[in-house]
Amino acid sequence: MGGSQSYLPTTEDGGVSETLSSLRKNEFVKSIPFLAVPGLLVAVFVYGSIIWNFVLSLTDFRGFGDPDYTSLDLGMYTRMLTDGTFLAAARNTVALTVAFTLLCLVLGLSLAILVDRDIKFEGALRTIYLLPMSISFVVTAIFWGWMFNPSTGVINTFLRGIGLEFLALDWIGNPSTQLIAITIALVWQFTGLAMIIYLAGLRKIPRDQYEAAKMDGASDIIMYLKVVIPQLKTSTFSAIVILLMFSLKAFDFVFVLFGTSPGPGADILPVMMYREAFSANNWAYGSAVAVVLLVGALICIAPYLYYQHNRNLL
Amino acid sequence: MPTRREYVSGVGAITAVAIAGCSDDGGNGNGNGDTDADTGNGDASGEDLEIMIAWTGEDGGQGFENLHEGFQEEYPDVETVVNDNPGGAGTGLQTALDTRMFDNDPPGTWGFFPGPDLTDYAEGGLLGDVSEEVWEEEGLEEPIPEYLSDLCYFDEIGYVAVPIEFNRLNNLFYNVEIVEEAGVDPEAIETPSDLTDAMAQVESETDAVGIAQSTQEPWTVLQLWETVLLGEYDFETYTSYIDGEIESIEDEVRDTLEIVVDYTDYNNPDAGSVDFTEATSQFIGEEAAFLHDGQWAVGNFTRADDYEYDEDWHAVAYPGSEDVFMGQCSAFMYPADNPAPEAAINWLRYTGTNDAQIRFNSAKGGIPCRDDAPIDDDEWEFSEHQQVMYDDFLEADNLTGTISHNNVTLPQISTNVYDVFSAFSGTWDVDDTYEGLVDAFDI
Repeated sequence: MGGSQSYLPTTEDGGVSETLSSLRKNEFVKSIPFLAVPGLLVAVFVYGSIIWNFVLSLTDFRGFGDPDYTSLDLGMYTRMLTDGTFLAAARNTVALTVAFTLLCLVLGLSLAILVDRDIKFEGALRTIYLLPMSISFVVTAIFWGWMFNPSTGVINTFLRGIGLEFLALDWIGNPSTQLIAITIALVWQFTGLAMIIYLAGLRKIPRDQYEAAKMDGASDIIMYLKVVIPQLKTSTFSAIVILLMFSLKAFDFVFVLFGTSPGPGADILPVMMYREAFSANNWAYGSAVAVVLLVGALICIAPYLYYQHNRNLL
Repeated sequence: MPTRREYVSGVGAITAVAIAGCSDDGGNGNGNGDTDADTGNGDASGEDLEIMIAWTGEDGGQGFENLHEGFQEEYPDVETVVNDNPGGAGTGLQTALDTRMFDNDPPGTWGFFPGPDLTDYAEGGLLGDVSEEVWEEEGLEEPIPEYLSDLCYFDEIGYVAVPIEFNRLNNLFYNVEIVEEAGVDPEAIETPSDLTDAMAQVESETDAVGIAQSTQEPWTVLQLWETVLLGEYDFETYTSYIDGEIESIEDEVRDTLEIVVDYTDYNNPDAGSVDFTEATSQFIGEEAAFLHDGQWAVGNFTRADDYEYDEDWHAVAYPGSEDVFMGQCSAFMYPADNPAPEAAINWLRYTGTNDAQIRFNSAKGGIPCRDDAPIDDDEWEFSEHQQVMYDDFLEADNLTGTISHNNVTLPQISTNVYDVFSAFSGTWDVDDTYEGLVDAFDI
């Protein structure tokens, strides 16, 4: 035994060994080699970038010099309050997010209930409804652009064909209908996703409960309202979070249809962020818009995180 | 013997060390994985000349290929890497370039818009001086008109670029058969407001609409209004506009915005839902009598079947703007801290030659930026229309550019003006647009 060890009381020596031994067996310690690297990468490239982006938004940085970090203020955020372009983009972003999410949920739930009723060709229908999800926003934007053409587009041709001439509008040319057109196209693309999430939730509900409700004399509507839908809370939360995230990423769709300056009828914050940063080189203002978007995203997922936390899933 | 778990843990730890070891070498890429295989070489390091461009399709792609071949014949020892950045009228290139410049990882050169659009780069010390090695040694100040050379010059630096093409914007294209049927003589239309009457006559006498127009993106409407302002008034009024003196020309601005609003009565009904290429297709399909666009529209005419200059289509200077050549210029730029300085200097020297100018523009559809270009060359043929444009270029009293094509103002102002016209092209509100224009220059 070495001299240095002779100064340690036997009991403490045993304690250190035990501690080391228990540390070696600790699951968290064992997982460090796996967690440390991705954790470090995420910390630097995600959270580090977010923090840096926030600091940039407090500067007046524009052009291609070096940002001046000596005088940080909220100038970019106060500028937003009087910037009509920002207010229009923020209003459109909120309207798009809410309308898109609600419509996807309602239509997705309706489709899921229909598909879940042991119908024929269920698999084929499920695939058909989900297929638009696999198409990129770029493709969707281009062919919805064609379909919305007021003269030759299939939408107006159909509306005129069934006598609804008054609804045959200049969908993407008129600022008052641009956002509606974007919402319709995005809902078409993502309703299938909401349907799949709800379908998974519906499949987890035991069939006995349907039968019990029937035996108690409940109609189909009452059964779904009182028995089934209340049990789809988790599916609804999951669908809301995913759909909200997609709505905030509608950049591609708007960019392809309208370019970097969509105008007050179709402008959304992600496009404005890109425009300010990469067209105008107003990096600080672009960063501030990005921070607002991030806060929006956090507000969107906060209820979900709280819900999961309460269920001890976080 | 190690357990499976210990073995995996060990591999994880080794991987961590390996990644950490690699991390100090992360800035050596070219920042863009889209290097082209034109030269069969994707490595932009060392002395290879990396050229970033957005000219990837049809006329632009062919024009650049001609230019590139000419350079390789002239400088066979210089290796080049062509980095294509297609998309969005150069926005793809601009975004990629901004990232590269921020990372202090510039290409050897890039082809895009010169002029105030480069101000942010110039102020950031990101552009290099080629006054002596290119402009003086090649004697470029003599054949290149002052307007175009000024676009390549910054007081604090010197010449930073060499222009390669000039595209006329103040054009009025027309379908010969339709205007004849309507009894309209485009040559006799004196002002942009007179064009409104001509379009009314077209619509009353034929099945065609007055003018094929896209209002889906703001630049097409902005470009139209800029041309109307120049044609309805004069070069001085137009200069006041690009100098941002909007309040001094309030009546002129409001009047010309009204003219553009009047034009909407004669647009194709889907103007708000089609882009400029689709509007051009409608013009080629003889659904409209007139079309206002840059010279690049001619490329679409040329590719169309049985659609011949003089016989099917013709062009005049936009009414009232005959004495001005309003154009869009592109150039090749020289960055500071150039990774391949010698090769880039050679590229710019070659770009300024007549050989390069006619190779590029004969295919691309623009005109050379020199006043001594041999556009009657047998090998690199210019169309009859291009030859007329070149004569107009030589005879013009004034050359100028537009905000719609980023040649005359700071990027921040261009973006603001775009925002104003993105609203105008939906609301057609003259008051808001005027106020927006006044504010747009206040940065």
